[in-house]
Amino acid sequence: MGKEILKATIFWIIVAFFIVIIISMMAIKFGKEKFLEATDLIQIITVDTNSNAERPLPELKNFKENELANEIKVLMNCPAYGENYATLKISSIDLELPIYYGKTLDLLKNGIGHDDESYFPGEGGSIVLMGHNYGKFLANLPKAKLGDKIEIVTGYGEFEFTIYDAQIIKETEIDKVPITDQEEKLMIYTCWPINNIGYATERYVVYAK
Amino acid sequence: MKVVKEITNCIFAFLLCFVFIGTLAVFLLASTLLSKDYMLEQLAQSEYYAKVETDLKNGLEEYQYQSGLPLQVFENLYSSEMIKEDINAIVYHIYDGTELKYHVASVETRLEENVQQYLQENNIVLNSEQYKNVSDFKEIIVNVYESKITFAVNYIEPFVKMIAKVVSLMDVAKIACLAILIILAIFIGIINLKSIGGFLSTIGVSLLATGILFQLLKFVIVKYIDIENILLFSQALSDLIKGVINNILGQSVIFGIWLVVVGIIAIVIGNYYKIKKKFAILQ
Repeated sequence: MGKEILKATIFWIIVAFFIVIIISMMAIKFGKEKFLEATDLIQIITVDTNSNAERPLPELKNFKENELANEIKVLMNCPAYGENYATLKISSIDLELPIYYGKTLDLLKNGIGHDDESYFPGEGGSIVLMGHNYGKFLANLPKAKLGDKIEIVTGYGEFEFTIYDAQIIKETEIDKVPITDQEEKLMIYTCWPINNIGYATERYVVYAK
Repeated sequence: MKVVKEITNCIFAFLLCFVFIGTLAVFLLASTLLSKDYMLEQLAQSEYYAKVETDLKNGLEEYQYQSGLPLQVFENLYSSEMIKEDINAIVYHIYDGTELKYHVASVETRLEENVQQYLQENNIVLNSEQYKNVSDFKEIIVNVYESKITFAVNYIEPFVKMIAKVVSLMDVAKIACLAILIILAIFIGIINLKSIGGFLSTIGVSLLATGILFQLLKFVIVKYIDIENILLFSQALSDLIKGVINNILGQSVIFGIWLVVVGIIAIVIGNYYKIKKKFAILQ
C-alpha cells in the first residue's frame, strides 16, 4: 500500500510541476515584455556598487616622459575620495591648508576641497579648488594680488602657479570656472562677500597658471 | 470514466492555482503596501526618520557655512518629533486622504527669532543688501526643511487617488477571491463526491503548484532586479523601498514554503484515502 501511495503522490507532484510549467509559459508569453519594461525602469534607479572601475587616467600633458616617469606612475594611483593628497600654499597671504580630494562639507570643514570632476596638478587640465570664506580658510584670498605665487605640494611633486586674474561671479555662472583638458589652469573659489551674513549668491575666483 | 474524472480534477487544480495566486496576492498587498500601519512600521524599521533628520542636517549645513551666521542660529529649528510627525502626515495623506500639514511655519518662526537674537547680541544693523540676503537665506532654510521632508510628495500625489481607490476595492477583491475559491472548491467536491481522497489531492496539487510559483517569482525578481542597489531620491527613501521589497518577497517565500508543505501533505493524505478505498474494494 505504501508503494502505491508513493507512486500516486509522485504522479500528482508531476501534475503540479506541469501546472507550474504551463502557468510560467503563459506568464512569459503574456507578461514578458511588461516585466522587462518594469525591470529596465528599475535598473535606471539602481547604482552599480560592485564596480571596481578605477578613475580613468587623463592623458598627461606638459611632461617629458623620461624625466617624470615616477610622477606619472604615482598619478596612475589617484587618491581615494576624501584623501588629503596635497597642501595649498599662498605665501603672500600666509596661507597653508591641506587639500582633500572631494568637495563634501565634511572635507571643507578641514581644509580645501578638490572638485573631483577637475584634473590633478600635473595632468594638464583645469584644477578647481574651493574653501570656506571665513576664519582660517579662504577669508584672505581676495588679499592675494595678481602675480602672487600659489604652490601645490603633492606626494608626487610640487607645482607652482602665478595668479593672472580674479573675478567675482554669480553662483550660477559655472562657465566662469570651466573644466577642460586644454590647459593646466588653477581656479580657487570661495563664497563672496567675505564674512557675509545671509545667503551668498556670489563667488570670488582666483585664476592662476 | 476514471480518466475523465482525473483530467477534470487536473483542470480544476489548474484553475484553482490561479485563484490561490490571486487571493494570496490580494491579501499580501492589503497587508503590506496598501496598509498604513505596515508602512509606518517599515518607516520605523528602516530608521527613515533618523536618516531624513541627518539629510536635513547636512542640507542645512551647506547653507550654514555660506551664510556667515554662527551655529546657534541653526539650533532648535526643529526636533526629531517634528520630523516624525511631518513624515507621518504624508503617510496619513496617502492612505487616509487627510490634509497635508507640516511644521514649516514653526521652523520659520524659530529661525527668525534666532537670527534676530544673534543680530541684537552682536549689535549688527543690516544694510538693505544684507537684509535681503538674510531674508533670502531664511526662505532657503525653510525650503530646505520642506523639501527634505516632503521631496517625494509631488511624485506621490498622482498616486494618492489611485491608492485610495485600490484600498477601497481591496475588501471587494478579498470577498470576490474567497467566493471564487469556495465555488471552485464546491465544484471539486461535487466531482469527487464519493472520494475525499480525490478532493484532497486536487486541492493539494493547486497548493503545491502555487507554492512553487511563489518561490519561482522570488527567484525571477531577485535575478532581474538588483534590489540592494536601488537608489531613488535619497538614501533614506532607497533604504525604505529596499526594506519593503525584501519584506514582501520574504513573506511571499514563507507563504510559498507553507503552501508546498501543506500541498504535499494534502496529496499524501488524499492518495492514502484513495488507495485505502481501492484496497477495500479489492478485498
